[in-house]
Amino acid sequence: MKLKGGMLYYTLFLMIISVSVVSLIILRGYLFRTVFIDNEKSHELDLNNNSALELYKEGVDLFSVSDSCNLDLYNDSISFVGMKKEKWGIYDIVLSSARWKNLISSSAGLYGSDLDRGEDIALYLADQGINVSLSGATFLKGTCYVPSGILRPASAEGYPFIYKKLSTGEVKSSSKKLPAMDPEVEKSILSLFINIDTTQSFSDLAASGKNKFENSFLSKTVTYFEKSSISTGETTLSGKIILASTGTINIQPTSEINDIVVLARKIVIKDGFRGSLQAFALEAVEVGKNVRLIYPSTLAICQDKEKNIAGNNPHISIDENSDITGDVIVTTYDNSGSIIIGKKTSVSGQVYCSGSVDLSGNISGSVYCNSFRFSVGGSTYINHILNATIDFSKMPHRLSGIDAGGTNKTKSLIKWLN
Amino acid sequence: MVKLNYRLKGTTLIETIVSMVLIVLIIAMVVKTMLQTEKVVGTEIKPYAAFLARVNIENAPRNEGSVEYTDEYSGLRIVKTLSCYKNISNLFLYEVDIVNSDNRLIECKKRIVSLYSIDNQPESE
Repeated sequence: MKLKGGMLYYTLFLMIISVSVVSLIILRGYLFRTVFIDNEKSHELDLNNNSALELYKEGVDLFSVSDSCNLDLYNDSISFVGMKKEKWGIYDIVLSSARWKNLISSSAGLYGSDLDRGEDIALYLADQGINVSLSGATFLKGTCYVPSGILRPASAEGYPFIYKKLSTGEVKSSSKKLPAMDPEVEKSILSLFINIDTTQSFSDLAASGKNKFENSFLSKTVTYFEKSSISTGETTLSGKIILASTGTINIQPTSEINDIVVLARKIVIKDGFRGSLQAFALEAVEVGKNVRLIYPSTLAICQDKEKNIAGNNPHISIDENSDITGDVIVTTYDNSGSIIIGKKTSVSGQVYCSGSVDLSGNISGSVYCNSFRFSVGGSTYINHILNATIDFSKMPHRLSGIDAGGTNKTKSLIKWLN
Repeated sequence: MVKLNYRLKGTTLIETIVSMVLIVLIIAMVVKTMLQTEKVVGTEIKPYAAFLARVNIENAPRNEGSVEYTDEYSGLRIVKTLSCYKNISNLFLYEVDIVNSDNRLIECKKRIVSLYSIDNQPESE
């Protein structure tokens, strides 16, 4: 039998149709897998990361053995999350990552102690045997721990106490010692001064003509060191950068500084500066007028018991009209040291001083100290507070800081780093 | 189109047609089986079930135990379960299961939530 060759075209046409149908079925399966399954898995990995970070935030001791760990969240050998912690000043950089086949999801954030979830302490004044006296327009709101649980109205420099109530909140007796600061924070600050990387000179960098330095928090720390004093000039420094000097570091208002750590014997923040930094000094931190330190910022002086890391007359002074959101800390082995907060200056966060505080401004948060002290003319007033405000309720919501007293292990997110 | 100007053996063409018919039949059977399997496994409804799970995993119930309701559009049942996580106080395991009318689990999502985050989550509609 002989047939017309033209029929072969119909057969070929049918074949093309069949191949197309098969291809479409395979493509559909492929797209379903890549778009839907991958998307769903990616969401699952994100949920696992968030769950792991939730464990960390609730104070579950994940890093007791080392600074990294692997979690099997649901004990199903599928939901594994790797976690890593690194200190950045007084805060923690926590990285969590989960993977499924080639998909990797990771989250990195900067965390600190959750101040919202601690006790609403406005004032903790250690009992050194002298009662606290309030004069002028002094306003206390929040729980106050004071010697013998007594607040007294008084008059200082011609300013009698003007309010009817001495405080808004509970007044309790304080103990002879201040609630201890989280030892990990102290250790972290002191460790910054040991083994400073001195390979990169700040002056060489400034001389290179480039004045903008940024380093991601997911990269290794970059340290710019100088033996003599440093002036930041018009430099922009941002991210995981340590600026260190054995002398004085002058932070100029013309510089743009964000999130870096500054280490020096003395740190001077000049009038009008605006930015965020963690400043750790051995002797002094001096903040000028009209300075605005954005959250998360820290000003701290820390000394160790062995006096290996110490300076003379440790003090932090903040001049008038400045605004600091973060922590101001002075801890010394002999309870010396002071914090001076000028008029019309406000600190939103925590003030922790193992010595004395001279408070003329406003605190929206907590003050922990061994004594209050201020001098006018030839008179020195001890445990007198004159025309100052300490209001815990005005502390910004979700602020992170340090744990004082060891009762609050919870953490809160300061910001995402990726 | 090119025109063949020579003759082919008819038998070759018949073999081709027979094989083509077989191919078409096999493809039809594969497609039918696939569609049937998808229906049983729930692949068709899976994207919607995943969407439901995603929406519901965001806000955890405020009390321990199970809450169950039916989605009006698809008839899928949404089962939310909040249980204690590894006996750690203040931490809970929150699971969302999407189940079809045959009680088959279509989608499941879970996460760990804290009492603090439950208390501070936005009110669900």
